[in-house]
Amino acid sequence: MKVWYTDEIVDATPVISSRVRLARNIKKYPFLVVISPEQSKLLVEEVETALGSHFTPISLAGKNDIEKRGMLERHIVSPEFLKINKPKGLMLQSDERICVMVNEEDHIRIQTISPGDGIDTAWDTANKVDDLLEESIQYAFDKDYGYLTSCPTNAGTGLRASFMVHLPMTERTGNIRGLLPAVSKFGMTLRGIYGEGTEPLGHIYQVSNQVTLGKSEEDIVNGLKTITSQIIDNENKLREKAMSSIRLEMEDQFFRAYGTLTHARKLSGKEAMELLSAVRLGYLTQTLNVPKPGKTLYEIMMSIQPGSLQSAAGRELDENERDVFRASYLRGMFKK
Amino acid sequence: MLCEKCMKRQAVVHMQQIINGQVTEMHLCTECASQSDSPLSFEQFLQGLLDVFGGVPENLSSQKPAAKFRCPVCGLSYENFKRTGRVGCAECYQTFRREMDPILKNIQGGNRHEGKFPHKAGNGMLSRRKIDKLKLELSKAVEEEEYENAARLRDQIRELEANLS
Ligand SMILES: [Zn+2]
Ligand SMILES: [Zn+2]
Repeated sequence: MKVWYTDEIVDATPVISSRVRLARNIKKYPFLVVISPEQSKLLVEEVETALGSHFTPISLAGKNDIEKRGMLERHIVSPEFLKINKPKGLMLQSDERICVMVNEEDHIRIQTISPGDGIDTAWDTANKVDDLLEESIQYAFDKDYGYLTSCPTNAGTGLRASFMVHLPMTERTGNIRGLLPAVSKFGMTLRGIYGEGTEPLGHIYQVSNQVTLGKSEEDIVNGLKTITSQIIDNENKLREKAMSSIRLEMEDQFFRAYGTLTHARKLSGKEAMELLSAVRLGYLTQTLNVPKPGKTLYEIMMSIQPGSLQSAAGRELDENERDVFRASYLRGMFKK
Repeated sequence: MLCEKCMKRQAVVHMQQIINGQVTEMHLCTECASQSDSPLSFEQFLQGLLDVFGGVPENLSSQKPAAKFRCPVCGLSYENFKRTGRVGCAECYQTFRREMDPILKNIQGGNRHEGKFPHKAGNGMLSRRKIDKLKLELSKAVEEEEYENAARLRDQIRELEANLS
């Protein structure tokens, strides 16, 4: 399959992507806070063998900080994973839809991504990878607490399901502030694009389940779908309302954003994300009738983050150089 | 700043509201502020969904005082677990079971796993789930005074439980 973020569906609705993460530990090894470097090495080997030829192991040792940051921006690895100072492993499929981190906070983190509203596919795939691992690995499991994890907040299913959603109107109208407490009532959470404690960029949020124990995987996924569909319905309503009451102002914003993206000489990451968000909305409402860029907007959004940008430049860039390079990259993207 | 409600006029009224212990700010124009209803409340909006999840989870209640013991397998102390929120091994869940159980009940939806299980843990898990289900049916049968059915269910449960131990 093609790499998930190159699929046009990521730009087609407010739902950019769907993700599933399964946390698993192996019974015979101590968990992260206790495991020794020697045991960590054995652990990595064991998981690599269990996954066999289905995955390509990625050597992190051969990657510099810029490349690692780029992987973080493409959601391949977690910030926690990069910080861990023990032998660790990373297995990736070429379409970047499945990745397995070994010796993250848990021994095994299976992560699957599907473009657009593809949470069922993501869960199905993660479930299959889990079955494959289980053929040769004995998991730490308890009949009451389910799959045992480093942090008890992940015990039970070990499942975190999430949607990445673009909510420009919900944010602009201030609705977003009421959303967080409401969502948390249902054992769900809403955060910025790159996980906990990060500022939302380009009005992109992640909705995910918090509760992992006491509910089946299907119930968790269905609950997340229900909440997310409410959020999306509301975003759609707000957008339609704005497009009928202040259409000209909305169009003006889309075209101004497009104008800036195609002509600016310097753009900060934050500003560029705002502009790309406006352009996304412009295409979505079919009012921005200009040619689409050669890549999906979500891929562009990831490409202008500091790590990916410096990877593309092939060298380290200071903030000022980055802003110049970012503007020139974006001009190139939107050029006919 | 534009008014959050009509998005047409300048916001001149800045209000703070406490909803569910969370401070939220609102920025409105005079016209919209004078109307009593607040802009689209997500509280009300999602209220209808409460039934789907069986009600609002209880707030975190006070946790038990820390016990001073260690996991015999990995050596992690309870103090350490409490400080970092991370256990050291699978056995820690047994060692700290008494302390962990109420915490799990509070932070999670429940304290019994309802999801997938490894095939290797298989038959036992399947019987346990089946017993749970039969027990529910049993209490329903008793309630509805279907004693013949209840007796049949009770025998089934006994048989399954005997096989488990
Ligand atoms: Zn107003
Ligand atoms: Zn332990």
